[in-house]
Amino acid sequence: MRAWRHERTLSSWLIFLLVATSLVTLSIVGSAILAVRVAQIARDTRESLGREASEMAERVEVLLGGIEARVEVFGELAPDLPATRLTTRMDELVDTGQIIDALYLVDESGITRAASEGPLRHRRSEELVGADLSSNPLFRDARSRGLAVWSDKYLSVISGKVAIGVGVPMADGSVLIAEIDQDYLLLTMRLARGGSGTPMWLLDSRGEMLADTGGEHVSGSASLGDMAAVREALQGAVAGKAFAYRGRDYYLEFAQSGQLGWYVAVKAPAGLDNPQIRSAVVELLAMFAGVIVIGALLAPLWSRGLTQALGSLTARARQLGDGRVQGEWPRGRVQEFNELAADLERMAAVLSERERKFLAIFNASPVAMLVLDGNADPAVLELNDAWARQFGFERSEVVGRSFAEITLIDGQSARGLLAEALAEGAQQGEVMVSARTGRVLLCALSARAMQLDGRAVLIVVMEDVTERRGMEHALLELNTQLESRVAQRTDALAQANDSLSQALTDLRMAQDDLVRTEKLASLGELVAGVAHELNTPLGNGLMAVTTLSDQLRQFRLEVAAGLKRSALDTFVANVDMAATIAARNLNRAAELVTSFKQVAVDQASSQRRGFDLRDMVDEVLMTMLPMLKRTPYVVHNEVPAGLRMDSYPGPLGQVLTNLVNNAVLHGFDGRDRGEIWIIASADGAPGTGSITLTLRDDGSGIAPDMLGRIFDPFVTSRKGRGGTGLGLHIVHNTVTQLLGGSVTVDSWAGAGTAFYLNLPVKAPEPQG
Amino acid sequence: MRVLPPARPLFLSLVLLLAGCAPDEPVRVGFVGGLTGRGADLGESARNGVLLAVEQKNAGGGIKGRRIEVLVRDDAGQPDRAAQAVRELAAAGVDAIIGSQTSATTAAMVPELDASHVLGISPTASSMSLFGKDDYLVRINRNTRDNARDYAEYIRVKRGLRRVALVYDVPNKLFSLSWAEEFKKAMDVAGGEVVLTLPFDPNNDDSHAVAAGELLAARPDCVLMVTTTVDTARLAQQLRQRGSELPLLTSEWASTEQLIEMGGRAVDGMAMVQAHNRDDPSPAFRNFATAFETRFKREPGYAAVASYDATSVALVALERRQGKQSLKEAVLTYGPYQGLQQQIAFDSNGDTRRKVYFSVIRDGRFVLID
Repeated sequence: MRAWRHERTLSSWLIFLLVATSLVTLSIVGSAILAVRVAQIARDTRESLGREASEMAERVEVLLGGIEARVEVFGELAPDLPATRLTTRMDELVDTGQIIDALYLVDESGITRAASEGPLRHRRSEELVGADLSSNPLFRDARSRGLAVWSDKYLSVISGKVAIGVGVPMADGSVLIAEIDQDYLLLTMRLARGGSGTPMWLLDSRGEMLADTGGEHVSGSASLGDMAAVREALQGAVAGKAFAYRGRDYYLEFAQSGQLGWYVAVKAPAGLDNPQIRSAVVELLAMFAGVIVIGALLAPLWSRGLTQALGSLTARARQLGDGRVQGEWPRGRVQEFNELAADLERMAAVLSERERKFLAIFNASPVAMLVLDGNADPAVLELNDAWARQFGFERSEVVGRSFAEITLIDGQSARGLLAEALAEGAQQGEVMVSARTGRVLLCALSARAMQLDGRAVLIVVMEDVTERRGMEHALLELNTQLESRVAQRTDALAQANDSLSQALTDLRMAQDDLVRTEKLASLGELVAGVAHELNTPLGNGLMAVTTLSDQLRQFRLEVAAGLKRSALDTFVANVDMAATIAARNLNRAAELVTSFKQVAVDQASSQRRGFDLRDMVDEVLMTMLPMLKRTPYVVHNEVPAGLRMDSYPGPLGQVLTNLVNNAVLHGFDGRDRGEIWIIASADGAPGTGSITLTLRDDGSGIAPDMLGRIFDPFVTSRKGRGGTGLGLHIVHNTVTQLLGGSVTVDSWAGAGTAFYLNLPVKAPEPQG
Repeated sequence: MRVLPPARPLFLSLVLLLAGCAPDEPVRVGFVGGLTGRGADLGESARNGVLLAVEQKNAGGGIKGRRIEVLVRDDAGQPDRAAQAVRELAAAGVDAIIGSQTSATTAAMVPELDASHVLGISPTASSMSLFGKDDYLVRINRNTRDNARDYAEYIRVKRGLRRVALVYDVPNKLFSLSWAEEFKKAMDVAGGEVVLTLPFDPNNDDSHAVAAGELLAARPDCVLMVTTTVDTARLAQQLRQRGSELPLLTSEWASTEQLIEMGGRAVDGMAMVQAHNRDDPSPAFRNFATAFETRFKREPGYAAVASYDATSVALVALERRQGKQSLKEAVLTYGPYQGLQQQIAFDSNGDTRRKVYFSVIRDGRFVLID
């Protein structure tokens, strides 16, 4: 296949076309003819096989009919013979001609009356007399049909061998059974076949092989009893189909003998094994070979006429290509070739017209253009008018000379540029060119390589860029200056920004320090309050104990002087009273310590735990009691019992302390009475959601201009009077950052202020 | 330049035509059996079982698209011919051989199978001498020991008989003598007695009449025949002609349909083991029996059932074997196999246990007894 991809001469193509066309035609037509012929041969073969099979079946019937007749004749004689003679006659019959292997007479009840396997086997035969053969199929069939019956192949109880038998019924109801020698059966088949060389099979009604004249089978080794196939073959239902047997195809025809119930099968090879089909195929192949040979001989002669006419056209076209001749093209006898000549003539005219047109365009261009050859030192082939004008050269001064030599100041780099253009197809660059006048010009040069007429040439376009390049330089300078000025300004701004950032950081740190200090201060106040609160019960307790000690000393003196009963009673009463007072006060002190310890731990450590809000508010208020006791103001804890939170009680206490302080210091400043209410309500289900804790006072309120800034640090109305301005800032920080809630404020001038703390029941996990 | 348009399709169709002309080599399965001679009843039945199994498989598309071809060889019941048949089949390139029917012919096959590394599957052979060996023969029948025990138990327990006269076939004594000896041992255990063990050689033209006389002279309670179908029928005829009403039994060997045709009324009442249940109502067996009768115009006997099973085992193993796995490995690996009436499971020696059915002939028919 690959070889045909190459270029070939026209005559090769013509020869190939001619031969291929003939072969394709022949193979299509030949296949069709072959198909018809093969079908015809198959039909003929089958018909002749069918005839042969029927004929063979008849012949076998006739030959075996002879045996049947002999047994029948004997059967007619038998009843008249005495017992001893009967056996002798049977022996004779068996002995004659090696046809019958065994003969036995079975009476109507199925009991064997006489038997013979020939005179040499008397003892064995005698043993059979009296045997019950009532179940023997031959006996049964012969009795029931009243006709001679041939058996299929069966295992003989007489000989213990595979046998074929015929059962002949007799007038008195008994049956004579003869077993036929298998070799005789084969002999019969060969006899019936006569001169015909076709192998034959004799099959019993079950399809078991009885004899094969081809000698391939011993009896029993094959069962062709696919009765469906046999029936179809008999009815011609598989006409034309071949029968596959032992790896080869055969035409197989059956005929059934009505008398024997057996089949005769005749077969002939199918497909290429069949001589007729083979010769048909050989004929077709011979025709193929003939076509190839004749085609190969004739085609070159015929193709020569065509190629000659084409040859003169080709020669003429070649001359035109070299620019040698003009005028008429040769004409011949082939119409298509004459048309081709006319077309070529027209094409040549059009081409020369087009060349003139492009030359005019080349010269009309205002851009300077050159055509150079592709040598190492390119020489000028062509130039346009613009180029001559620009550089002041005459055409004749330039054509044929080296481009570098004529014009260039730096010839070496221009040559390099042109060499690159040749290698890569195109190149651009700038070159210094010296014009005829001696003036040096800077030119942009663009060179493009191309193939013209099989040679490499360079198309060169040149443009004077001397002035433009000067302006570009000035612009570039300006730009550079501007950029450096911008960079200086940017540096200065960055420095200023850095120092501002530093100042801001310092301020933040200072603010954090102040907040921490304020928290410590409030802890100090707490400790002072605790100390004060403990002072009273401990003082009372001490006083009771010292009094008791005095009375004990007194009592000892009285005992020394002689104890009176009344003195003892008085002492006991005093001891009782002193103990009661001491115990009550010490209990009170213990209670306070426990309560303070909780508050102190919470505040100092910011521990998270579950707590009851009302209890927690109580504890906070208790720590503030020393401070409030010195004032006329009252705080009401109206938080409902049972509100539980999982949060930070210490910081929350700090928040409440700051808010109460805020009310006392700012809201009630200068007033002789004031009240604070602490209220709470839960939003959502217990244990989840949030709680709104409201702290309201009836003080003077917050000035509207301050209201927006009260949570900012250092905002206070008591500047210079002890206020740090951090209290509410700490409240805001703690609520929003640690407790995860929010704080808002409402204020009415002269009527009071309310802080609303919205707190989640479960405080968020601490960050980081 | 391009190939001219007609050339390419022409070339391609030629290549396809040639490729289509070479079909796959068929898978070859050999059969060895006694198609002529005294065991021809078993041989033909077994051959038909193999043919039916293969034809059904071919109708279902063969083995992975390959057709199966059966090569049939007749051993005529003679050991040397069975060995010769194996040599021929191995040379013809068979993958497996089904056969033979008797233990004598099967035993003669074993050395040839071992030498040629072709797997033999015996449907019916049962001699103890073939049992428990790791060779190129696998068997799907049970062994004589199991059968002989069943007979002994049947005779002593079910029938209450004590004295048994036994006659055995000499040409196949590998089976019949093994059977007789196992039976004798089993009878000793069961408290019975084998009063006579009589050899019978049909090749030597031994007289059935004489043998019958000797059997009766031993004054047994019953007569047990380990002989071919023909000889069982003839001996039964002789025993009945002598007016004996003794219970008769024959080994599983002779339990073919032809026994009834040959023996007539003389075999009425005879008891024997059947290797298959001919009254099985299961659809699998009924379909098989119908197909068999349509195809061969005969009822399938035990040899047909066993050979059909043996062939199915071979075909399943051939289909499932992997790469270079030998067929023997494949047969032992991919079990158990579903037989017509029971599962077939091999031990590592390629032996199986098979269920059996006691039958008795009544009015020309086999009747199953519990």
